[in-house]
Amino acid sequence: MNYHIQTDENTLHIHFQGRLQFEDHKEFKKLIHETIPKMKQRQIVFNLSKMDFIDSSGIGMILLAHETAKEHDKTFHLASAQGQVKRVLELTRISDLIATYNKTP
Amino acid sequence: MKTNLIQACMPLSSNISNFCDWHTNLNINDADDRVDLNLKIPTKRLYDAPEWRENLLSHLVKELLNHAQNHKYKSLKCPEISKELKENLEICFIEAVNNAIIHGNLGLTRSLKDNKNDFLNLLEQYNQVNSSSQCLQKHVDITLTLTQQSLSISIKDEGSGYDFPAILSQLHEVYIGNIKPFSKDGYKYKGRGLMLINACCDDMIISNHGTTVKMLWDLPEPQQDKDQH
Repeated sequence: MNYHIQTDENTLHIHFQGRLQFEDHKEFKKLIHETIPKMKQRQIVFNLSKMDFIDSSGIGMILLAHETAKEHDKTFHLASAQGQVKRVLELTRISDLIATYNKTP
Repeated sequence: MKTNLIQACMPLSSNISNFCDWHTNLNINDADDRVDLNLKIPTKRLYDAPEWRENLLSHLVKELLNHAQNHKYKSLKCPEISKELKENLEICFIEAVNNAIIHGNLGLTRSLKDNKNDFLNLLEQYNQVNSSSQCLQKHVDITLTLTQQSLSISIKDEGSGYDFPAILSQLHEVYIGNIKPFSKDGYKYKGRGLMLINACCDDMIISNHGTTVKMLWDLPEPQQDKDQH
Protein backbone atom coordinates (compact mmCIF):
# COMPACT_ATOMS: atom_id res chain seq x y z
CA MET A 1 0.00 0.00 0.00
CA ASN A 2 1.38 3.37 -1.04
CA TYR A 3 -0.33 6.70 -0.69
CA HIS A 4 0.18 10.42 -0.64
CA ILE A 5 -1.95 13.09 0.97
CA GLN A 6 -3.05 16.30 -0.68
CA THR A 7 -5.17 18.96 0.93
CA ASP A 8 -7.18 21.98 -0.11
CA GLU A 9 -9.46 24.22 1.88
CA ASN A 10 -12.38 21.81 2.14
CA THR A 11 -11.00 18.39 1.37
CA LEU A 12 -8.27 16.02 2.42
CA HIS A 13 -7.44 13.69 -0.46
CA ILE A 14 -5.61 10.43 0.08
CA HIS A 15 -4.31 9.10 -3.24
CA PHE A 16 -3.69 5.37 -3.00
CA GLN A 17 -1.40 3.36 -5.22
CA GLY A 18 -0.91 -0.38 -5.65
CA ARG A 19 -2.74 -2.85 -3.44
CA LEU A 20 -4.92 -2.62 -0.34
CA GLN A 21 -5.14 -6.02 1.33
CA PHE A 22 -5.04 -7.83 4.64
CA GLU A 23 -1.33 -7.35 5.32
CA ASP A 24 -1.71 -3.56 5.02
CA HIS A 25 -3.98 -3.34 8.05
CA LYS A 26 -1.38 -2.03 10.51
CA GLU A 27 -0.22 0.77 8.23
CA PHE A 28 -3.77 1.61 7.17
CA LYS A 29 -5.02 1.80 10.76
CA LYS A 30 -2.11 4.09 11.64
CA LEU A 31 -2.88 6.31 8.63
CA ILE A 32 -6.54 6.64 9.60
CA HIS A 33 -5.93 7.26 13.28
CA GLU A 34 -3.24 9.83 12.62
CA THR A 35 -5.08 11.66 9.88
CA ILE A 36 -8.82 11.86 10.47
CA PRO A 37 -8.90 13.13 14.10
CA LYS A 38 -6.44 15.92 13.24
CA MET A 39 -7.78 17.10 9.88
CA LYS A 40 -9.38 20.53 9.62
CA GLN A 41 -11.19 19.98 6.31
CA ARG A 42 -14.82 18.92 6.35
CA GLN A 43 -14.46 16.03 3.92
CA ILE A 44 -12.08 13.21 3.12
CA VAL A 45 -11.76 11.55 -0.29
CA PHE A 46 -9.99 8.31 -1.04
CA ASN A 47 -8.76 8.57 -4.62
CA LEU A 48 -8.50 4.99 -5.90
CA SER A 49 -7.51 5.67 -9.52
CA LYS A 50 -4.03 4.19 -9.03
CA MET A 51 -5.12 1.34 -6.75
CA ASP A 52 -4.97 -1.88 -8.72
CA PHE A 53 -6.05 -4.56 -6.23
CA ILE A 54 -8.29 -4.76 -3.19
CA ASP A 55 -9.43 -7.77 -1.15
CA SER A 56 -12.26 -8.18 1.37
CA SER A 57 -10.00 -6.96 4.20
CA GLY A 58 -9.29 -3.83 2.15
CA ILE A 59 -13.05 -3.28 1.95
CA GLY A 60 -13.21 -3.76 5.73
CA MET A 61 -10.52 -1.11 6.13
CA ILE A 62 -12.44 1.34 3.94
CA LEU A 63 -15.49 0.75 6.17
CA LEU A 64 -13.30 1.42 9.18
CA ALA A 65 -12.16 4.73 7.66
CA HIS A 66 -15.77 5.61 6.86
CA GLU A 67 -16.89 4.98 10.46
CA THR A 68 -13.94 6.91 11.88
CA ALA A 69 -14.74 9.85 9.58
CA LYS A 70 -18.37 9.74 10.72
CA GLU A 71 -17.31 9.78 14.36
CA HIS A 72 -15.42 13.02 13.66
CA ASP A 73 -18.25 14.61 11.65
CA LYS A 74 -16.40 14.35 8.36
CA THR A 75 -17.90 13.46 5.01
CA PHE A 76 -16.25 10.45 3.41
CA HIS A 77 -16.16 9.65 -0.33
CA LEU A 78 -14.52 7.15 -2.64
CA ALA A 79 -13.43 8.26 -6.09
CA SER A 80 -12.11 7.01 -9.41
CA ALA A 81 -11.93 3.26 -8.76
CA GLN A 82 -10.79 1.30 -11.83
CA GLY A 83 -10.62 -2.32 -12.98
CA GLN A 84 -10.52 -4.95 -10.24
CA VAL A 85 -11.06 -2.37 -7.48
CA LYS A 86 -14.18 -0.99 -9.17
CA ARG A 87 -15.53 -4.51 -9.65
CA VAL A 88 -14.99 -5.49 -6.00
CA LEU A 89 -16.64 -2.26 -4.82
CA GLU A 90 -19.63 -3.08 -7.02
CA LEU A 91 -19.83 -6.72 -5.90
CA THR A 92 -19.75 -5.71 -2.23
CA ARG A 93 -22.33 -2.97 -2.85
CA ILE A 94 -20.22 -0.48 -0.96
CA SER A 95 -22.03 2.39 -2.67
CA ASP A 96 -25.12 1.46 -0.61
CA LEU A 97 -23.23 2.95 2.30
CA ILE A 98 -20.51 5.26 0.99
CA ALA A 99 -20.79 7.93 -1.72
CA THR A 100 -18.73 6.67 -4.63
CA TYR A 101 -17.78 8.82 -7.62
CA ASN A 102 -16.26 7.96 -10.97
CA LYS A 103 -14.15 11.09 -10.73
CA THR A 104 -12.82 13.07 -7.79
CA PRO A 105 -15.72 15.16 -6.43
CA MET B 1 4.35 -39.85 -12.48
CA LYS B 2 5.12 -37.82 -9.41
CA THR B 3 7.97 -35.35 -9.65
CA ASN B 4 9.38 -33.24 -6.90
CA LEU B 5 9.62 -29.76 -8.32
CA ILE B 6 13.18 -29.33 -7.09
CA GLN B 7 14.19 -32.00 -9.58
CA ALA B 8 11.93 -30.84 -12.39
CA CYS B 9 13.69 -29.64 -15.51
CA MET B 10 11.91 -26.30 -15.83
CA PRO B 11 13.64 -23.23 -14.40
CA LEU B 12 12.44 -22.31 -10.96
CA SER B 13 11.63 -18.81 -9.89
CA SER B 14 13.59 -17.64 -6.86
CA ASN B 15 10.50 -17.47 -4.66
CA ILE B 16 9.48 -21.03 -5.47
CA SER B 17 13.05 -22.14 -4.81
CA ASN B 18 12.83 -20.48 -1.42
CA PHE B 19 9.64 -22.37 -0.65
CA CYS B 20 11.44 -25.60 -1.52
CA ASP B 21 14.42 -24.61 0.62
CA TRP B 22 11.99 -24.27 3.47
CA HIS B 23 11.15 -27.95 3.18
CA THR B 24 7.66 -27.34 2.01
CA ASN B 25 6.11 -30.11 0.08
CA LEU B 26 5.57 -29.22 -3.57
CA ASN B 27 4.64 -31.94 -6.04
CA ILE B 28 3.49 -32.18 -9.62
CA ASN B 29 1.36 -35.08 -10.70
CA ASP B 30 1.04 -35.82 -14.43
CA ALA B 31 -1.73 -37.79 -15.99
CA ASP B 32 -2.77 -38.12 -19.60
CA ASP B 33 -5.34 -35.38 -19.48
CA ARG B 34 -4.52 -33.30 -16.40
CA VAL B 35 -1.76 -31.75 -14.35
CA ASP B 36 -2.02 -31.42 -10.56
CA LEU B 37 0.29 -29.23 -8.56
CA ASN B 38 0.19 -29.54 -4.81
CA LEU B 39 1.94 -27.42 -2.21
CA LYS B 40 1.79 -27.84 1.53
CA ILE B 41 3.04 -24.76 3.26
CA PRO B 42 3.31 -24.16 7.02
CA THR B 43 1.17 -21.27 8.23
CA LYS B 44 4.24 -19.70 9.82
CA ARG B 45 5.81 -19.08 6.41
CA LEU B 46 2.78 -17.17 5.23
CA TYR B 47 2.34 -15.40 8.58
CA ASP B 48 5.96 -14.22 8.68
CA ALA B 49 6.07 -13.17 5.02
CA PRO B 50 2.51 -12.14 4.12
CA GLU B 51 3.62 -10.59 0.83
CA TRP B 52 4.18 -14.14 -0.44
CA ARG B 53 0.45 -14.71 -0.49
CA GLU B 54 0.22 -12.36 -3.46
CA ASN B 55 3.37 -13.70 -5.19
CA LEU B 56 2.66 -17.36 -4.71
CA LEU B 57 -0.32 -17.72 -7.03
CA SER B 58 1.38 -16.29 -10.12
CA HIS B 59 4.37 -18.58 -9.56
CA LEU B 60 2.17 -21.64 -9.09
CA VAL B 61 0.08 -20.88 -12.19
CA LYS B 62 3.25 -20.28 -14.19
CA GLU B 63 4.67 -23.60 -13.07
CA LEU B 64 1.39 -25.35 -13.86
CA LEU B 65 1.21 -23.86 -17.37
CA ASN B 66 4.89 -24.60 -18.04
CA HIS B 67 4.23 -28.15 -17.10
CA ALA B 68 1.13 -28.37 -19.29
CA GLN B 69 3.12 -26.95 -22.20
CA ASN B 70 5.83 -29.56 -21.73
CA HIS B 71 3.32 -32.31 -21.09
CA LYS B 72 4.83 -35.50 -22.36
CA TYR B 73 1.56 -36.94 -23.63
CA LYS B 74 0.70 -33.73 -25.52
CA SER B 75 -3.02 -34.32 -25.10
CA LEU B 76 -3.46 -31.29 -22.85
CA LYS B 77 -3.40 -27.96 -24.65
CA CYS B 78 -2.12 -25.07 -22.63
CA PRO B 79 -4.96 -22.56 -22.06
CA GLU B 80 -4.83 -18.81 -22.49
CA ILE B 81 -5.23 -17.07 -19.14
CA SER B 82 -7.29 -13.96 -19.87
CA LYS B 83 -6.98 -10.77 -17.84
CA GLU B 84 -10.41 -11.41 -16.35
CA LEU B 85 -9.53 -14.98 -15.36
CA LYS B 86 -6.24 -13.79 -13.87
CA GLU B 87 -8.09 -11.23 -11.74
CA ASN B 88 -10.62 -13.84 -10.64
CA LEU B 89 -7.92 -16.36 -9.76
CA GLU B 90 -6.08 -13.77 -7.72
CA ILE B 91 -8.97 -12.51 -5.61
CA CYS B 92 -10.26 -16.05 -4.96
CA PHE B 93 -6.81 -17.36 -4.06
CA ILE B 94 -6.05 -14.47 -1.68
CA GLU B 95 -9.44 -14.73 0.05
CA ALA B 96 -9.26 -18.51 0.42
CA VAL B 97 -5.66 -18.52 1.69
CA ASN B 98 -6.40 -15.70 4.15
CA ASN B 99 -9.48 -17.57 5.41
CA ALA B 100 -7.40 -20.75 5.78
CA ILE B 101 -4.74 -18.92 7.79
CA ILE B 102 -6.85 -16.54 9.88
CA HIS B 103 -10.07 -18.41 10.57
CA GLY B 104 -8.84 -21.96 9.86
CA ASN B 105 -5.36 -22.60 11.19
CA LEU B 106 -5.13 -19.68 13.63
CA GLY B 107 -8.74 -20.27 14.73
CA LEU B 108 -9.52 -16.55 15.01
CA THR B 109 -13.22 -15.80 14.98
CA ARG B 110 -15.42 -12.77 15.22
CA SER B 111 -18.23 -12.18 17.61
CA LEU B 112 -21.75 -11.90 16.30
CA LYS B 113 -21.63 -8.13 16.68
CA ASP B 114 -20.15 -7.54 13.22
CA ASN B 115 -19.04 -3.99 14.01
CA LYS B 116 -15.91 -1.87 13.80
CA ASN B 117 -14.51 -2.99 17.17
CA ASP B 118 -15.10 -6.61 16.28
CA PHE B 119 -13.08 -6.13 13.08
CA LEU B 120 -10.31 -4.32 15.00
CA ASN B 121 -10.25 -7.08 17.64
CA LEU B 122 -9.72 -9.68 14.94
CA LEU B 123 -6.77 -7.71 13.54
CA GLU B 124 -5.37 -7.32 17.06
CA GLN B 125 -5.68 -11.05 17.76
CA TYR B 126 -3.90 -11.76 14.47
CA ASN B 127 -1.01 -9.42 15.35
CA GLN B 128 -0.65 -10.98 18.79
CA VAL B 129 -0.26 -14.59 17.67
CA ASN B 130 2.68 -15.98 19.61
CA SER B 131 5.56 -16.98 17.32
CA SER B 132 5.79 -20.35 19.12
CA SER B 133 2.06 -21.06 18.75
CA GLN B 134 1.27 -24.57 17.58
CA CYS B 135 -1.28 -23.04 15.22
CA LEU B 136 1.57 -21.66 13.10
CA GLN B 137 2.82 -25.22 12.53
CA LYS B 138 -0.44 -26.20 10.82
CA HIS B 139 -0.32 -26.39 7.04
CA VAL B 140 -2.21 -24.72 4.25
CA ASP B 141 -2.64 -27.30 1.50
CA ILE B 142 -2.94 -25.78 -1.98
CA THR B 143 -3.81 -27.84 -5.06
CA LEU B 144 -4.07 -26.48 -8.59
CA THR B 145 -5.56 -28.77 -11.22
CA LEU B 146 -5.56 -28.11 -14.95
CA THR B 147 -7.64 -30.17 -17.35
CA GLN B 148 -8.71 -29.34 -20.88
CA GLN B 149 -12.05 -28.10 -19.56
CA SER B 150 -11.19 -26.34 -16.33
CA LEU B 151 -8.72 -24.88 -13.92
CA SER B 152 -9.35 -25.39 -10.22
CA ILE B 153 -7.72 -24.31 -7.00
CA SER B 154 -8.37 -26.13 -3.77
CA ILE B 155 -7.32 -24.68 -0.41
CA LYS B 156 -7.44 -26.85 2.69
CA ASP B 157 -6.66 -25.82 6.24
CA GLU B 158 -6.15 -27.80 9.44
CA GLY B 159 -8.66 -25.87 11.51
CA SER B 160 -11.84 -27.17 13.06
CA GLY B 161 -14.14 -25.96 10.28
CA TYR B 162 -17.36 -23.98 10.61
CA ASP B 163 -21.05 -24.24 9.98
CA PHE B 164 -20.73 -23.43 6.28
CA PRO B 165 -24.28 -24.33 5.18
CA ALA B 166 -25.63 -21.72 7.61
CA ILE B 167 -23.08 -19.09 6.54
CA LEU B 168 -23.70 -19.73 2.84
CA SER B 169 -27.42 -19.48 3.33
CA GLN B 170 -27.02 -16.14 5.13
CA LEU B 171 -24.63 -14.87 2.48
CA HIS B 172 -27.11 -15.83 -0.20
CA GLU B 173 -29.79 -13.80 1.54
CA VAL B 174 -27.52 -10.79 1.96
CA TYR B 175 -25.92 -10.62 -1.48
CA ILE B 176 -28.41 -12.34 -3.75
CA GLY B 177 -31.67 -12.30 -1.83
CA ASN B 178 -33.65 -9.44 -0.40
CA ILE B 179 -31.48 -8.40 2.53
CA LYS B 180 -29.06 -5.65 1.64
CA PRO B 181 -25.54 -5.58 3.07
CA PHE B 182 -25.13 -2.64 5.47
CA SER B 183 -28.80 -2.76 6.36
CA LYS B 184 -29.96 -3.61 9.88
CA ASP B 185 -30.07 -7.34 9.09
CA GLY B 186 -27.23 -7.41 6.57
CA TYR B 187 -23.54 -7.98 7.04
CA LYS B 188 -21.22 -5.09 7.46
CA TYR B 189 -17.72 -6.33 8.16
CA LYS B 190 -17.94 -10.09 7.75
CA GLY B 191 -18.69 -12.71 5.15
CA ARG B 192 -17.35 -10.66 2.30
CA GLY B 193 -14.42 -12.97 1.45
CA LEU B 194 -16.63 -15.97 0.75
CA MET B 195 -19.05 -13.78 -1.15
CA LEU B 196 -16.22 -12.53 -3.40
CA ILE B 197 -15.01 -16.10 -4.01
CA ASN B 198 -18.52 -17.17 -4.93
CA ALA B 199 -18.90 -14.25 -7.32
CA CYS B 200 -15.50 -14.64 -8.99
CA CYS B 201 -15.41 -18.35 -9.87
CA ASP B 202 -17.70 -20.61 -11.90
CA ASP B 203 -18.16 -23.11 -9.10
CA MET B 204 -17.34 -23.06 -5.39
CA ILE B 205 -17.46 -26.28 -3.37
CA ILE B 206 -16.95 -26.22 0.38
CA SER B 207 -16.33 -29.57 2.07
CA ASN B 208 -14.69 -31.32 5.05
CA HIS B 209 -16.74 -29.32 7.58
CA GLY B 210 -15.64 -26.08 5.96
CA THR B 211 -11.90 -26.76 6.02
CA THR B 212 -11.67 -27.13 2.24
CA VAL B 213 -12.77 -24.75 -0.45
CA LYS B 214 -12.46 -25.71 -4.10
CA MET B 215 -12.85 -23.02 -6.72
CA LEU B 216 -13.31 -23.92 -10.36
CA TRP B 217 -13.17 -21.95 -13.59
CA ASP B 218 -14.41 -23.29 -16.93
CA LEU B 219 -11.86 -22.84 -19.70
CA PRO B 220 -12.79 -21.95 -23.27
CA GLU B 221 -12.51 -24.68 -25.89
CA PRO B 222 -8.95 -24.72 -27.24
CA GLN B 223 -8.64 -23.40 -30.78
CA GLN B 224 -8.03 -26.05 -33.42
CA ASP B 225 -4.62 -25.93 -35.06
CA LYS B 226 -4.79 -24.22 -38.45
CA ASP B 227 -3.27 -27.19 -40.31
CA GLN B 228 -6.17 -29.36 -39.18
CA HIS B 229 -8.65 -27.30 -41.24
